[in-house]
Amino acid sequence: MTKYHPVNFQIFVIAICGGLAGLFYSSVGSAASLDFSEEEQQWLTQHKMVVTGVDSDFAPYEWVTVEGVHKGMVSDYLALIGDKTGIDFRHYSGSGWTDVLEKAKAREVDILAAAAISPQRQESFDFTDAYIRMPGVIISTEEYGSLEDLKGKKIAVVSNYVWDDLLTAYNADARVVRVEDTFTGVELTSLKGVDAMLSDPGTVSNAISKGGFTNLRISGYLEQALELRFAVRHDWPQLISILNKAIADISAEETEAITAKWIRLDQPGLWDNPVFKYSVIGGVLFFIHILGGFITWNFTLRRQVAKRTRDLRLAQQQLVQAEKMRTVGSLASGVAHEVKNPLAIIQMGVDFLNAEHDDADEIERQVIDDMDDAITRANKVIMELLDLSRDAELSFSAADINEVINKSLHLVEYETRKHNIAVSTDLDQNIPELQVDSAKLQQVFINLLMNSMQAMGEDGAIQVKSRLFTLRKTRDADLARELHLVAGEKMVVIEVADSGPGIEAEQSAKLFDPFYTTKPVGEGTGLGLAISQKIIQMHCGTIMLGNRKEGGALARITLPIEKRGSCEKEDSTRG
Amino acid sequence: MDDEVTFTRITKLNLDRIGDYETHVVNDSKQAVETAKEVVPDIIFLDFMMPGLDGGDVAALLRDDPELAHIPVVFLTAIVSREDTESMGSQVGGNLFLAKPVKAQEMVEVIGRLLGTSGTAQDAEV
Repeated sequence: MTKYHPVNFQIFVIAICGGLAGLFYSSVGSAASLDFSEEEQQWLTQHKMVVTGVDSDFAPYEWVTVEGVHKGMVSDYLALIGDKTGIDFRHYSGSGWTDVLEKAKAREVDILAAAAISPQRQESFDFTDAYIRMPGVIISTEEYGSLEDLKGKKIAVVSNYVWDDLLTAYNADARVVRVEDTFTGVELTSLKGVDAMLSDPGTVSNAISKGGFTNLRISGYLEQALELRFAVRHDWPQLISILNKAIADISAEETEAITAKWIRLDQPGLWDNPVFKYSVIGGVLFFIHILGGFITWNFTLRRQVAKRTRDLRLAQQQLVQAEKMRTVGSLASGVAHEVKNPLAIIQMGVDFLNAEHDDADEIERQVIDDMDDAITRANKVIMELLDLSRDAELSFSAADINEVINKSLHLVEYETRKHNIAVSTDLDQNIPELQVDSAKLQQVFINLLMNSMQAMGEDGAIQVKSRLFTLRKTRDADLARELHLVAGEKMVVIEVADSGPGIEAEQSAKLFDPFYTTKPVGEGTGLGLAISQKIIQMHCGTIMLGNRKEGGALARITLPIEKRGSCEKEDSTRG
Repeated sequence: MDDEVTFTRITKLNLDRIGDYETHVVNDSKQAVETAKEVVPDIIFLDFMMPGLDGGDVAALLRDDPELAHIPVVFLTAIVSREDTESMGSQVGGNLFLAKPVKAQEMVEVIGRLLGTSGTAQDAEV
């Protein structure tokens, strides 16, 4: 898989252009411009290799890397001139510039690659034309545009550099501060130990970016320039003319490309400035501190939001449920009359047929009985709907909840025996009497027991438990809120557990919906749990259905010990 | 009396045959009092929910009439559940309630209970 990449494409295009340019120059250069004399050509044939002394520490003009690679502008020019002349320049950097100079004087080194002209050096060398020309620059924190502006100012220069001579000659008023190297001068200028520094853009930009002095800038350019040339041993005059021809052949574009490659006059990275660096680190630490605060705060908020969301969802569910109830209710009372009248007719008809056919055979009797049952069933649905829709006042009286449970179990005893279901109870005898509607609660318990039995079919076990429970402060906070109780208050928990198949996840949300049933047609109206829930809510309690870890369904009812006059929940759903 | 013609027709068949009663049917509540005066039944079964005059209105009219005030009225209603009729003692305003759908046998039992007789020829108005 190849993937088109714009950067690679760019590099590719440059390579092609470079290649074409190279071809162009090599052909033009050797053929047209570099018109070497016979003497020169002969010299070139005899001297394929020239030992070239280089400065290992004169960035960005030239330097030698730890791997011994000669780099910088001079290196590029050597390559360029090498191409034009065919000379193989072998660089020698020795132990330093002084060593190089000595070797050059002893002619162990043939030429110096980059040297500024000076009377002293002219004793040992001949110089070519300058191939690197860098205008002098004024480096300062202030706005000094020219040497004129620097009258009476403290100015740093690297001692014995061309700028030192220049300044001494030009401006006698200036107070010259001679420094060892460019970096020291730049540092001094940045710290305002001096007003300005004179240097060349190459070394100075290198020093500025190395030291990260962000307050410095090139405030002005000088007419004088740093000029670098080849210094050639006196006995090789042919090489001077050869190199001068090659230098003259270097195009403006080539010069520009090399300069742009090695000298960047843009501001150094802000990160290199210690003031900026520590400000940023300080800022970041401060930010982290604030962020920490935010995160903690955010966490607290999120927890609160989650809690509120839960409350709201619960409230919404209750509202939806209440709305469903209301719909069912208004529907029920309307439908009841319309359905019950025809049912009454059918009932009378069945009764008539029954009476008319005393001699009916078994099949006829069965048909009549089936119709009679169907009427009863249809009527039951309507009865339950009416039950659900009516805001019947419950009749509360003090009752022993365990007794209500036992009575309910007694009423389903026939069914449990018939289907071989083992019933066990674990009833807390410490539960005080509650203000409840015993008949309605009994209806709820019977409904739960019948549900369990129908879910289990034949064989199984039902366990009914009652417990007195004191609400704990944090663990039961949600439950307490739902029950409109506070921590420390007591309530009764009643559990009906079975060994049936349990409740499927998809069913659990709809269990309390009117008409939702999982039973076969005719066996359930889907109203039992809706009614149960309503009854429990009217007791200011809760009812929930879930699964037991060990399998089977679990219904849990909670009832407050002290029933409030009217449950808030009821009030809110009506409002 | 009931505005449901079908109901009254089949109920009459049942009462006539099972209970051996003489049954008069009224389907328009405005004619209830008039028919009652004509027939002077031993017991009146009155539908509670009817258009125009409802069961309650008819019962009030009957009570206001000295000739008819003594006749026991049994309401038939499609609204009140069986459970409610039982828990209320089925007596509202001195009248008995029966929830629809009502079984013919229940009606016969009520007649027997209120009139102290069963199976003998009585006048009933439905």
